[in-house]
Amino acid sequence: MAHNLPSEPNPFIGRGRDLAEVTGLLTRHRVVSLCGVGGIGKTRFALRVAAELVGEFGDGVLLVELARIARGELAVHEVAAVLQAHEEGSRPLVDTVIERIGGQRVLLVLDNCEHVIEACAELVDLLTASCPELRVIVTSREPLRIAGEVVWRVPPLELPEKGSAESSEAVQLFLERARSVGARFPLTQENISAIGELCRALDGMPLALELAAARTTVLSPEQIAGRISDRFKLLTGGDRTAPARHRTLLATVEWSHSLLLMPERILLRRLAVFAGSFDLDYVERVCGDDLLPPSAILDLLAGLVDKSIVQCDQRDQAQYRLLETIGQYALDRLREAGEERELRDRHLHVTRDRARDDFWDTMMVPMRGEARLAAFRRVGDRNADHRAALGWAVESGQARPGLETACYLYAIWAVRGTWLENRRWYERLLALDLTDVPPELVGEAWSRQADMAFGQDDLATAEESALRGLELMRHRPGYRFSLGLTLNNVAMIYLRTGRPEAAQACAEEVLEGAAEAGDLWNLGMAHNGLTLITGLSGRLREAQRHAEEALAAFREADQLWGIGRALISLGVLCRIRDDLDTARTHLEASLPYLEALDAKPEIARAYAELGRVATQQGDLGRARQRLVQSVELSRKIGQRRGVTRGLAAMAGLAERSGDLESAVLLSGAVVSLREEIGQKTSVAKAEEILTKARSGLGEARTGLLYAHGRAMSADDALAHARAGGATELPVSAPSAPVPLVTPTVLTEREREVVALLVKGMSNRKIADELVISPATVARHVANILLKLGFSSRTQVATWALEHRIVNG
Amino acid sequence: MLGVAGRRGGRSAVTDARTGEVLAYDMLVKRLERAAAGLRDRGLAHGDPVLVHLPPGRDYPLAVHAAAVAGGLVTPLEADMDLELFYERLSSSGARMMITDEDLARRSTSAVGDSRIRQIFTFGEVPGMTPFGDLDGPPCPPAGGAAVTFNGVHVLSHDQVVAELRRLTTVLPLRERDVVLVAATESHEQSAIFDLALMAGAHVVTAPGASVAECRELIARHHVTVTAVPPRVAPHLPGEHHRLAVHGHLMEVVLRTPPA
Repeated sequence: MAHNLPSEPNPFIGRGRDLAEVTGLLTRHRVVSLCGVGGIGKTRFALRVAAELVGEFGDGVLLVELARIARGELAVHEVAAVLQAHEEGSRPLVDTVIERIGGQRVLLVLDNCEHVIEACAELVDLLTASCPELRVIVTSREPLRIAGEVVWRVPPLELPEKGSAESSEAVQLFLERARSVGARFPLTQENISAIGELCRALDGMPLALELAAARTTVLSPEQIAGRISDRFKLLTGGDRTAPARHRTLLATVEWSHSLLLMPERILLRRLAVFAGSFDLDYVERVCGDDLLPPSAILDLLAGLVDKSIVQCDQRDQAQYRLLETIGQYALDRLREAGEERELRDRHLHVTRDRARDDFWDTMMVPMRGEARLAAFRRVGDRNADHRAALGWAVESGQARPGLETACYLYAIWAVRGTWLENRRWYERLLALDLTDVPPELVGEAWSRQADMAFGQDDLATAEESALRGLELMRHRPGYRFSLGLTLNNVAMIYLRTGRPEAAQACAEEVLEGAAEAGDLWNLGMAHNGLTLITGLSGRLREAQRHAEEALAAFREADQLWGIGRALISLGVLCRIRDDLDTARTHLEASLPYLEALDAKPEIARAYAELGRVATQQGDLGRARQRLVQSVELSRKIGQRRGVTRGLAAMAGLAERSGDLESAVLLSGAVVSLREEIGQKTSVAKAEEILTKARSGLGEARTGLLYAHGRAMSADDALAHARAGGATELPVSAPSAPVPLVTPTVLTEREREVVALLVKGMSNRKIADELVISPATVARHVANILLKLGFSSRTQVATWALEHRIVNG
Repeated sequence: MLGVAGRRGGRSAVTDARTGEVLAYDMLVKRLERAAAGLRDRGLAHGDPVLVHLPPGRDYPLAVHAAAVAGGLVTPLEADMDLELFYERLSSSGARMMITDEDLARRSTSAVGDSRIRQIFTFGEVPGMTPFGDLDGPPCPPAGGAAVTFNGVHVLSHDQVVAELRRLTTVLPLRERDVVLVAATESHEQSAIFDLALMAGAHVVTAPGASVAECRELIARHHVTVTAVPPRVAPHLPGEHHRLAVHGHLMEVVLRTPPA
């Protein structure tokens, strides 16, 4: 993505020298804040500066709109969303964002920061301190007040000198906008001088000029000048506390407002409840009532667009929005009219209904994949309004519509992996008075909160909330879609907490209910879960069957995400069974689905698996190419687990190609990166490589390489792996000695279990031997498999014998 | 002037009577060059007006000369200027940059907010404005053709300023051993007496607006040899009284004040 800047709605006028100056400043300074009062044209200027710099910032010029967020802590979420930096377990999001930007040449435009200025200051400070090539443009009424910030005050447009009015920026903007609304007044000496006067009266403020120009179809420039100056007289009675420019703008907005018809005024003030852009349907449903019949709204909205009060972005469907300054004015009028509470209630209810109708319900009906995807995106893009509605639900104590909204949106949040923020919504809503909320809904919400916690690796909360939620939902008999979601989540939580039998029971309950109800989504997800459950216990044939069933269900429902995931599972299973050609076919088939969704974490996973398959096939060139792609993609989205996964596969590739030295080096890097992120799985491969290296290279050389690998950064390790081991290898040891062995990951109890596994004992026998329950044994076995990165008990036993973990 | 000043090393150039801070010649030159480079780095183009809104004092010559070295049109504004007039000068100057200090920046916030000033540099810390001391940039040779305007209408070219200074050196020949007390408050007086003193390598003591008693005390303490004072103070100071015409304005100077 080179940039996400919107296309310019109309020609940009003037500011030539300013553009050159600010683009120049950005080559030498990290943070430039464009400050000035509302309506002075900060955003438009910033976008123009950013557009000029697209060629300079090859890694991205990205606009982050902050006007619509209400709380400072959401700023980092907006930045992460624009950067497509995905949340990663319990890691602070800002760290992921830093990892995502890294050393890349990125220009961020943080637009409209004033209401969350402290959070922005902290964020920009952190990001620029950690990302050396990052540059930031901020637009705000107030500066950030951080070290190194260049504060640049955006002036109004240049005013006409007497006598040469036509060439000034302000007059040119006025004329351009007047022509674009269809005004056809001839340019005479008189009206040019009247326009010049008007521009001076409006002090060259772009928004004021646009509002005035929009009226030129009905009023002459002289008339407009006269009327606006009357407004000024009303407003300038007070003292000079606020800058005059602010009052000038207010006067112009007031004047423009005073010319509106009553229904237009009612509509304008009501539009203030929308946080993001809005379409006609949304407006009709939220703003329409007896006072403002929905059937009249289209014409009124068009009138407001003609008068430059509402902005319209034509895409496939017209999207409207209010400029920040106008939005604030409209909100004041809404409060004055005493309609705020009523309108916010309606906004909450309509937002909930749209989430249900446009997304939640579509999950249960047959639909083409593209249509599904379009619905997902359309509803996902309404994030600003979802936040506003949920915020109002919390503020006004309306738990029921709030929880309903949050539950309807759950699948979007889960697929996007935005755990941090959305977990908080469930928690804030669940903290309200729930007396009148049906237990079913409360249970559902607890279960969704559990899934968000699960995404953050907070297994204790996930387990507690999930079971609490399930219990509440059990009060109502019979299968339903929402129960299917809950049971599938509970199954995954059971599996991760070492209870595969309980996990299987949950998933099988879903299979039954979902098949009967024709609920293809949950059917597919249950098969997905069972693929994992059976695969991890070494029942590969069963796992294969579940993966195929999952694929069939998702294909029938045309669920692109599900299809992509099921194909990866099939690929992995085929690889484990050494059916490498089929593995590659499945994995390659998954890519178009995942690419259509832009599901980067899954794409990186598919690449890594393709790299592994190619390694096993001995196609080492292709393997390297795929693994590099995988690690680079994971780097780009800040996914450290993906990075270590790819590097571990690269160590395997080096070993396979006979380059034992690089294999040891990379293993060292992988082990230290895993420690850094607290990941305790899959050290078996590293142990295997080290054992081989000790006999092949000798203890001393292996130790040296391993120690160097441990000191490597992810980037250095990638560079080494990419070069195919052609970079120089270390000759001397680093100063601090490093232990040669991988950390002992198995607990004492787990080692005891491994010792009995080696003897071929079943869970029940092991349970008898150790005097613990079979369920506990199963939990230990699942943990051992997870920690060692194996999929069968046989693999564990072989590994244990080879590495003398136990004596066979 | 820069070249001459640079050769004077660690000798005192300016002492701020209010704070007692002393700025040596080599530091003065270093800070000037850095600040000038900083102004250019921030986008100052040759001939751009730079408003200098500062009370008389140690910072004043630094700001004026930095702006001049950077090639700006130096536009000093009196510190106690009436707010309406200040606003008028802000708008009419077309300036994109202003150098000011903490107190004045706070007092003039709303007027500045309504101007077309893009960047403000301050002596002292003002949230959201760049400290003058932070200005820095790649070294650049002094720009020729700097100019100054005291009233925003008449522009004096660099050559005119230099010619006027040359003329003044014949009327008021200063030497290295002179200690010059600047108690005058008008910007053109300050500019002229600073330039004369610094060109000669003299030591300037700044106490703008000092009362008669304060002047006497400072003259004694610093062994002042030349005093530039506002007209109301002049008659009360002993010594040889002169009235110099500087760019058409009259400046009161008291010479060779005997030690008290």
